[in-house]
Amino acid sequence: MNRHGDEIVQTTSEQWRDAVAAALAEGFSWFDSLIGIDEVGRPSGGDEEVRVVVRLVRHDPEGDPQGRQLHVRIPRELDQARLDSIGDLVAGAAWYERETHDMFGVSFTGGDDRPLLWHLDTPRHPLRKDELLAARLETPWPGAKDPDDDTAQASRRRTLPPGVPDPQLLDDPSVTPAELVASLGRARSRRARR
Amino acid sequence: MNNDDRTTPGAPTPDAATGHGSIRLIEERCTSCMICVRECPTWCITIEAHSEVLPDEQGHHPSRQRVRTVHVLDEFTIDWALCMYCGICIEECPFDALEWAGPHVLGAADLVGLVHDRHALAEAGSR
Ligand code: SF4
Ligand code: SF4
Repeated sequence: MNRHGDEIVQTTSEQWRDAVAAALAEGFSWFDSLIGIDEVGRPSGGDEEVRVVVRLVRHDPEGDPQGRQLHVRIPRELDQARLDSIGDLVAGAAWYERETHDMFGVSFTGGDDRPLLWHLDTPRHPLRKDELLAARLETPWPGAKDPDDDTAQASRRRTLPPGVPDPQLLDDPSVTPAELVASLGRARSRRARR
Repeated sequence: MNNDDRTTPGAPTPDAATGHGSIRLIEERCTSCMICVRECPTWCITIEAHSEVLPDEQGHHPSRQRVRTVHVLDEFTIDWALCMYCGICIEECPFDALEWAGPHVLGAADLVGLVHDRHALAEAGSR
C-alpha cells in the first residue's frame, strides 16, 4: 500500500503482461495511467533502470474505489528498455505507451512506437534526467545573483540552476548518466509546512 | 476586494476561486534572500539587491570578528508573461513576503509591459 491506499505490486518484465491481465480479470478494469520514472539518482539505487508504472482501479459499487499499481523496473539502456505491449488488453493504453516511448525511450513489443507528442529527426527522450535542457543551459539564471557578492561574506559555493549539470562534465565523453545527474543543480529541499 | 476574510495567510480570496491572478510583494518583510528567485520553475522573478554594513556598533563591534551586514532590496520584478501561477514562490518564502493578490494583471501593449517592478507588485490586487 502506498499513502494513497493503492496496492503496489512489483513485477518483472516477463510477468508484466500477465500481471496486468490478472488485475483486469480481478475487476481492476478502469485504466488510470501508464508512465515511466527515470530511476537515475533516486535513493532506490536503480541508476541503470527505468521504472514503468501502470495504475488500474476497481470501482466497487458498494465501497470506495481501489487502486492497484504494477511496477516494473527495466534496463535504462535504450536497446534494452523494452516491455510487452498491453495495448491489446486495454485499448486506451496504446496512447500512453506511445507517450512513454517519446518521453522515456521505453519500447513496447507488439505495440505502436510511432512518435506521439515529440516529433524529431533524432529521437531524444526529454523526461530522462540526463537529457540536457538546452534553454536552461543558454539562458542566464536570475538565481545566480548573490546580494553578498560585494562583501567578504560572499558565498564561495557556486549555485547551479536546478536541472543544469556541472559544465565541466559536459565535455567529458566518459561521463555516465548517474554522474551527470548527480552533478545537477537542485532545488532547495522543501521546508516543512507550517 | 476584501482581503480580510482570509483564514490562512496566502490563501486565495474567495472571489479568486477560479484561479490565481497576481502576487503581492510585502517589501518590509523581504530580506532579498533569493529563495523565491531560485525556486521559481520559470525563472520569472529577478532581484537586484546589495548589502550594507549595519551602522556603528551594530555593524562593527569589537567582540565580533566579522562585520554585520543587511541586504537592501533595490529592485524586485515578476514577469507575468512567464509566471504560471504555481505559487511555489509564495510557499517557499520564509518571511511571508509574497502573497496571492486578487485578479489577473492587466494585459500590456508589449512583453516589457508585463514585467512588473517592486512598486507595481506592492500595489498588486489593490486597484
Ligand atoms: S507563481 Fe510560480 S511561476 Fe509565478 S513567480 Fe511564483 S514561482 Fe514563479
Ligand atoms: S523568498 Fe521572500 S524574503 Fe526571500 S527574496 Fe523572495 S520574497 Fe524576499
